[in-house]
Amino acid sequence: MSEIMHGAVAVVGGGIGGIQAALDLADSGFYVYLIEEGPAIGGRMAQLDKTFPTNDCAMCMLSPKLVEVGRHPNVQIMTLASVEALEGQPGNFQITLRQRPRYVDITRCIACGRCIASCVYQDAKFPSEFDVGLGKRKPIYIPFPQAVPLAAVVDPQTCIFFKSGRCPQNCLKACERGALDFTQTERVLTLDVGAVIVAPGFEPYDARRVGEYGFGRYANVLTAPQFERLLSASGPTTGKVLRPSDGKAPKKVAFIQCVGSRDLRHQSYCSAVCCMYATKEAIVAKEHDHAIEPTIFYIDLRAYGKGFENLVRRAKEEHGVRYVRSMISQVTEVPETKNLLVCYRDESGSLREEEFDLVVLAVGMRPSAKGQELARKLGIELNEHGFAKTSLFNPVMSTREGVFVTGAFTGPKDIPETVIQASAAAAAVEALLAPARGTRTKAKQYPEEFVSEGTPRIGVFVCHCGSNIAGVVDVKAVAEYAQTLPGVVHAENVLYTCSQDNLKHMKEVIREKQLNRVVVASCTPRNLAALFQDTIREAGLNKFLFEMVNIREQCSWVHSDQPEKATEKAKRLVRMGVAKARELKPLAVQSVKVTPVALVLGGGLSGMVAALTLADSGFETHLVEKSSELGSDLKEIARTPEGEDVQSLRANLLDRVCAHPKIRVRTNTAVKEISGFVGNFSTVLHRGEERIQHGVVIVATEAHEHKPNEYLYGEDGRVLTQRELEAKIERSEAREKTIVMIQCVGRNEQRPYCSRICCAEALQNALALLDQDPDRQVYVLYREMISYGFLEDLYRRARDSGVVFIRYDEQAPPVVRKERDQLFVTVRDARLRQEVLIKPDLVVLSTGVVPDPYNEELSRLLKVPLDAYGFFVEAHIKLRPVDFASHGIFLCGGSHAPGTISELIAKAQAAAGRAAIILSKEQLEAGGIVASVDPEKCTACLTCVRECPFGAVFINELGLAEIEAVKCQGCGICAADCPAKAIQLGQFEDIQELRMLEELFAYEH
Amino acid sequence: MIVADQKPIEEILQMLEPYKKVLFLGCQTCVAVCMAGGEKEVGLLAAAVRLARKQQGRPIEIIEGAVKRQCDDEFNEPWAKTIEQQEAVLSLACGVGVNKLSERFDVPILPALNTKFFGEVERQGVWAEVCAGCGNCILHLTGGICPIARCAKNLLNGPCGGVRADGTCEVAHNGPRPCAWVMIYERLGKLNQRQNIENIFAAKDWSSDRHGGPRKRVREDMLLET
Repeated sequence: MSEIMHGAVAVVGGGIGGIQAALDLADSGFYVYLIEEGPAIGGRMAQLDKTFPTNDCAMCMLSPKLVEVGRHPNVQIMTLASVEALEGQPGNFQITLRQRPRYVDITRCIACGRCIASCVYQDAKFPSEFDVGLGKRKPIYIPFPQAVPLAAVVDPQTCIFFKSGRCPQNCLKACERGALDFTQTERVLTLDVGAVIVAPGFEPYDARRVGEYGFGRYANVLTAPQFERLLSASGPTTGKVLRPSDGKAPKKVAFIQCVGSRDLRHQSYCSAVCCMYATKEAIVAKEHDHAIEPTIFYIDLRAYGKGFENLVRRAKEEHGVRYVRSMISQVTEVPETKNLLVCYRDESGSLREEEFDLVVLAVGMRPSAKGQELARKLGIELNEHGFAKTSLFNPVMSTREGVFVTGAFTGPKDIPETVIQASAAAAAVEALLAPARGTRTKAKQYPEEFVSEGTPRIGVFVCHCGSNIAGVVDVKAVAEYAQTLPGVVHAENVLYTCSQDNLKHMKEVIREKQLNRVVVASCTPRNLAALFQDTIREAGLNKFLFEMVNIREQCSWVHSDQPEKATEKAKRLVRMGVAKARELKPLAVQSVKVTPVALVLGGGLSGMVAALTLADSGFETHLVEKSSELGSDLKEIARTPEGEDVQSLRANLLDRVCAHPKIRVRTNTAVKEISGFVGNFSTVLHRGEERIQHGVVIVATEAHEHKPNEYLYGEDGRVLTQRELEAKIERSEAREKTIVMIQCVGRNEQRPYCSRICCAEALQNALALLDQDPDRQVYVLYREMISYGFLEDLYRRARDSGVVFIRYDEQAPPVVRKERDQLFVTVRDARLRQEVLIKPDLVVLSTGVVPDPYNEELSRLLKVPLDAYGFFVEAHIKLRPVDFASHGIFLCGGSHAPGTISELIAKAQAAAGRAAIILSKEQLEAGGIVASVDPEKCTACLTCVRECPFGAVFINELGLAEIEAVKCQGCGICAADCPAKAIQLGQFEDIQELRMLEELFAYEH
Repeated sequence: MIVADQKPIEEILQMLEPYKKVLFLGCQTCVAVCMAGGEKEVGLLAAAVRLARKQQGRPIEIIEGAVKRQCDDEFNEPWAKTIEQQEAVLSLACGVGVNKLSERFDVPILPALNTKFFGEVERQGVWAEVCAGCGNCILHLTGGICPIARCAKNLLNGPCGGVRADGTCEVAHNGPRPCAWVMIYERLGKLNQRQNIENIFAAKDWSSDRHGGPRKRVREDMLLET
């Protein structure tokens, strides 16, 4: 560790993982350089149409994050930049970057697209990276509509000016902002950082290398990423599913799984996400076009994550997606129709050939070539598959101290796992650089707000946006019209409202004319509302005395052929904005002090890891366990499927937890009551009625192996669970020769979910049994082998070692019986379609995991939700996997979802990291856009109390509803539903909205 | 609480047919809680009526309001002047409120709701009748489950032959519902009071119910001298 410690961090890779890590770090007191190789951040997630298992829109989730990181005062985004070298040591690294020229000044570019329209290439003719080659772009282009930074970029590889030097450079002349600069050159720069997070992501497997499927030769064979773009409304067909060969809508669509994965000619591992994304794409395709008949050809259907089982069931039952279990050896094209012939083995075992209109290849994930090079430059090691090498017990630590790795760079992963690892890496950095927290970040100071009561004095600024608005809308007329509206004391039209000189001018006008409300009529509030609010705040106005009117996206751009009507519409929109402005009220934002102490509930693996991560970051942590000892969940586990020693992990964690000066452990202790809110919780423990004050809660209860009541378990000593077998093997007491393992025991309608870890446990035990005595017969009776990711290697080893795998149908589970002290197992082999009889000496049951029953009480105490199976429900399955919807409460552990030890560790670190964001702040801001109750009108009907997703409403001592501003997220549900109209939401009060509507529908003055 | 339902908009429009100046007056107690006649419903109904009348080419002037409890004169009094200037009042209170306003004002008071029963909140958005207000309570004998309100036949000695094998009632016009007497039997079992089921109830004296005519309750000691 260096004596000098920098409070800045380099995050390499601007995908969802890098963005999450950057936000977590920047929000907890570190300055972040977010380094992206391409021209915009967003990564692979930006290209997705929907995400499984909820089929929510990917861009709708990602875009707010892009905006947030894009305007975060403590994040500097560096696009077109790559790492050259890393020198120094943890705390004091020098990272050298090479930044390629963009030829566009992003501070000037307003993404109006005029340069693109004027390019000498009249048609877009180069394959668009964003549309995976299906769409086309010009040499100058905007990567995608929601890109951050939202600015054009020049591709020197295809730009005529760079290729021949002879180009009229129309783009230069077209740009009204003087943003283009062809003299830019590459620059090399070195930054001081304390740590590095590496998140370069993955590359889809190159389908051309799997020649038998004809990708690149047959027009109607697409890869799944391409199909995703076809489904996307922002894609090349605006969301219509059309065949590339003839632009016709396909009817029969085949998905071929494991393209490049689970295949020794390509990649031996399972890519972990393809079964689910294919299921999603099949459903979404069907939603877009009902006539489509999707068929998914697969080997094992790996629906092992939270909610996955349910999605597959819906695909089958509600959407009629057909699943056929068959590897596909070849696809051939019918030359006349360009249809595709797929040869497969049907359920009855006979070979069939079927014609499809479109084939989608579910390509796997592979480590990116750039990631490999990056690893070399950073001096970190890769594993045998080319992914970053990590240890199981330190899943985000690379082989170089101070350099952390996350996401698909460490192995195939879906989005929530990537987000979890990103937060985990941020937490690890925080622990490393805790003393340097806040040394590089800046907090902005604002003047005191002047009281702005009294009659409205409104200023209206109408933006030309160059010619973007002014080219269609008569902005001068709009400004003159605004001047005539009641309450308006100043109105003007401005060339660029967002330019630095205008912002300065705006502040001067506010002071000179004593404005107390500001309306800006320009573009979407999505990007710039915060900038304008900040500006009026600098001028001493409450930032909520601001209203933005969109006359670009919602007016000039969509009505460019009707300038007169567009001008009229702009006037009406401005009239609405001004009407709302007249009713605006300043909203108070209070500061609430934060108690920098954490409470971790559950002293298992996850609880201990979370407590250590927080304590290492400098926060006092109470670790409360209701049983008599810590780490009891690990006691029965000797080693991981990969062979790591779990008992030494447990001993090490116990030692560190007990010795850590910042951790206070209480065992045999349950929680009696929890009150308060984010930053200021107060908890009473059952033991001794002790009261703890704390700022955050982490729920870290674990899941447990299910104890079955079938298959003679508990009646015959030769029937064990996998965990019991593992202990027996570890004691070298296993002498049995013939062993039958039954998977998915007790998995039924009440407990339909996959427990994720049992297949690997079975493989591990089967291999251990054969290691001890190769002269054994081990049978594994399974439904689907869930050996996702690198666990696939274990599955292969087991097959090679002679373990017999027999697949059974869910409807025909194996039967175990005992006759004259002999055990018999009969199972119908789904492949052979025959009964198999085995006489085992030992029957081992993979029973899955069930959540801790204590969850129910915690759910009540904390007012956090449980799902139908007793697992906790996170705030958002994709992007907030370790947060509860209620602020200040976080979750990890098996009681969130089953997981491997390595996955649980990452989740615990992530929860700790998320919690540390709150604890690192001295104060939290509360209030602003929140709902409040009028006690005169409240009739205590409880509607709001029942509905609030954040538990912010309670019945106070007067017997009336009251909303805790700190907990309120301003969603407005209660305000909309209150039957007594007793609730109003700040900035969206009824009167404000109604005034706008009145102006909208009013006849012309 | 008293549970009510809003009348169909067609019926309301028909009632309002002769009038051009009407006060829509909600009640912020029971009918607000059961989401039938609180201030929010007043706003929604008024907007719908205005639109419909505008479409008919016969615009209507509507004032919107809501009082704490329409069954108390004191709460209605602040609206007296307004009410007297109206051609009619559409009350979104229960029938009690409509009666109360009619007693006080010489303006037609029109009911916007159908008053149904007093009930419990089963869950948000669902109300169920569990007490019939018969004036002669026997809940202590029936495990806290009322056979008068919850048995379709008001049987005191059930169940009858109409109970199905799954414990539901043969009368199912509001969807399947459990037999009150099966519920009573099970509940008594839980309370160790099964023997209660063997009691034969004598014929009920219904005079305390509405069958004895309109009811009134007087508490002498609370009367104010006037």
